[in-house]
Amino acid sequence: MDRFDCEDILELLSGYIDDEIDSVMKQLLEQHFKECEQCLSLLHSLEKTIALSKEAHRRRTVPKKVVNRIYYEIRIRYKR
Amino acid sequence: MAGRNGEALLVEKAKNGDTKAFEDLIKMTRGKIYNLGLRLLRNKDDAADIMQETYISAYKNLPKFKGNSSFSTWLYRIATNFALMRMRKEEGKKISEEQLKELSSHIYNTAIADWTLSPTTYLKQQELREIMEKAIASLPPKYRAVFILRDIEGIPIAEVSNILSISASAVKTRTHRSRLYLREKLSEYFNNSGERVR
Ligand SMILES: [Zn+2]
Repeated sequence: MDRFDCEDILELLSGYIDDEIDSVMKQLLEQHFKECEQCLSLLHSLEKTIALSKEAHRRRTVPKKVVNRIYYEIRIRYKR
Repeated sequence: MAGRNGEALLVEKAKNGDTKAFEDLIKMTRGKIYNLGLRLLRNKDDAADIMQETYISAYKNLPKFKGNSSFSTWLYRIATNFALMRMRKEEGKKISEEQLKELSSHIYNTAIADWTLSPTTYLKQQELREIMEKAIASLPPKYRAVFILRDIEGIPIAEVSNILSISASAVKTRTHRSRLYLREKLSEYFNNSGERVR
């Protein structure tokens, strides 16, 4: 395969983002991105989606009460 | 913080009934497990319940832990299984697996606008966060679990495949479809708000 059409690109986008495709494939993709605004937009918006999904969830600290309850449960169940 | 060796030592002690060693293992992993629960189930009570179920089950099943994976991978697996059981009972509208599969076949039917160039200063972060959370919640449980582990937690493909006992290619496919779906949801949002911010 020496050229891709846009539908082929779509299936390879995640592999490209995750760096899971070989270097030949990668070059062909990058060539396509230079020539096809549509696929480039798709790539950008997909990368942005991943970035935004990480921001959507704020990390929280575990409430002390919750941890203490677990310690307690394990101690009473498995007391030697 | 203890490394992999320290971890192995603590696991060994805990296997011999040293609950203090197990408490140290909890200290090392609690943030990960609690936040995973929060992400999968989206409420604090459920996350706390899952966490308790996970550690009690882990303690009980310690003899079965052979150290083939890291202790935290093993915990992730237990926690995800408990969470999946709850997720399957959830109410609320979900996109079907069929719809997810079909997504990619008509993506090019509509013009693809590059909303990544949108003026982000205008965007309401809180609103965006809610859209995203809702979209993630509407994924079928087995897709949501993959997406959260892979893209939000940033866990490598091989490890996600181990945690969920599915093939690496299933991890890739589900990640890809979830991303396309979430992208679609965000596109709807940006296309509408583009008009509003002006
Ligand atoms: Zn293209």
